[in-house]
Amino acid sequence: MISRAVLLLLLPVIAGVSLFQRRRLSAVIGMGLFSLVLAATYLLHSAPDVAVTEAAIGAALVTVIYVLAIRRTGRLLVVGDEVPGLLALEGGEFVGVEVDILAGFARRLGLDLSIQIAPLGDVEAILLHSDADLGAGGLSSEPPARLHRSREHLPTALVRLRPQADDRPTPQESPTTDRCEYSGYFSDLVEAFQRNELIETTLDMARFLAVSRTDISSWRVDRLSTPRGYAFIAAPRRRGLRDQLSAYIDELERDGSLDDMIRRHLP
Amino acid sequence: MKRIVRTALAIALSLAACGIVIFNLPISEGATHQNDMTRLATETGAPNLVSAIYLGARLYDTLFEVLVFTVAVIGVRFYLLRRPSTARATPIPESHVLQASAQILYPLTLILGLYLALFGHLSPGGGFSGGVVAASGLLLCVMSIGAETIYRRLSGAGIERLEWALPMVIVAVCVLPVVFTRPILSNSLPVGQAGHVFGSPSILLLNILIGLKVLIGSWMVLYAFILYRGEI
Repeated sequence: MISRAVLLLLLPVIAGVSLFQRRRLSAVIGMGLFSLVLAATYLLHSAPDVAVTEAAIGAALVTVIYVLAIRRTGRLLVVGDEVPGLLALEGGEFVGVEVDILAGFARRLGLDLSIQIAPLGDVEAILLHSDADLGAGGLSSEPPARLHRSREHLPTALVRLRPQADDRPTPQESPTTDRCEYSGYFSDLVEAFQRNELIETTLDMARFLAVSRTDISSWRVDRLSTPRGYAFIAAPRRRGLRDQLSAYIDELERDGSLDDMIRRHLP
Repeated sequence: MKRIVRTALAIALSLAACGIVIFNLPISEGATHQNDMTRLATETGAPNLVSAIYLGARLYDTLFEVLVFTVAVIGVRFYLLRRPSTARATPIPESHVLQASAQILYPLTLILGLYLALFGHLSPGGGFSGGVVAASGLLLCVMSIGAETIYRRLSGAGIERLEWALPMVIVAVCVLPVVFTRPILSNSLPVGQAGHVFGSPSILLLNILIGLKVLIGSWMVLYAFILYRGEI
């Protein structure tokens, strides 16, 4: 009798808890739990046939179908290359200004943040295939037409690196075509620098600061004057997501937490 | 030509369904009192009264439940097949813990499903729940082996045609008693010793058919979700 009453009281509690979950996966698991408790209730009310069916369908099959259904829509899939300070993998965890912004944004949307590392040159292609929702990792140039660029969250500039021996005048810059010339993984860039394999390259400020920790005395460094900014890029047909993200960055800037993030990750 | 035959068959089946409803063909008697319920158990040879009712006295209702399930499967496939497939997208890998435990659990779950379907007339269970439990087992199998492998093996057995054929077979089994000059929807096979596995062969047969139908239908729904909403 008491167990019946406990289970019956538990049912609305579980239903309420799962109803107010922001994260979709938690809500689905709450529903599965509800079905399980409901099955136990049926069993205690001498309806084992109904209990078996409820457990099999409600707790197992329907939960799985929901999990499959939200598998892609329940997560904010971000693709980007590593950039120290913005988006970097340290001890198995992602840290950086962009990671902080994205984590807060995903929490607000009730989604799970999932970051995949990809070479800088592949980010736009992956987004164009809609294999990810957002692109990140120090993106400072204008994307192709179908992609949507968010509001800038951090100002930057491009830096041109040439060997010291090259004494041609500072190259002419054109704001539309100049972009970070490196398209591989950031770790390969650092290695290439250490082995002196690069001939001439253009890098954005965050990447330049990271490689400048190695010896760059044999390089000529010219800072291109056009101001730029780091921003996120949203996949085609995700304009709404881009607008939400821009509004979120606005909000962060207004209440000063964006400055805190920048001070914490970029000393 | 094929199209015309199909359309004619569909119209004939719908008319037959309407006919059953409108002319209210004699249906085997329902149980209303305690005595009737005991009588029902002995009549059908199924100690589990729930089975005796939904596959004996109220088989008419169960037929439409099967129909509802079939329509649900058709609906899922109809709407998901029109969406672009996500199967080529970057796969989201399963964790190793999940894969290893799925490998241990799937034979047990499949056997439990089989048990529920085969012994549905003796103990709690039946075709519907047995089929769903077996489908969960198949899902665990997918987690440990991979959806494509399972799909290829099952398609080899012509599973999709079976899905559409099974409702017809179930209806045929229900109409079969007419051949033996007995009321439609009554026991089609002779009742044996109550409490024995083969004590009520017609309920056993219906449980197996419904179990198979539910298993294949659930698998097709799951596969459509795996293919179009996110892969395992």
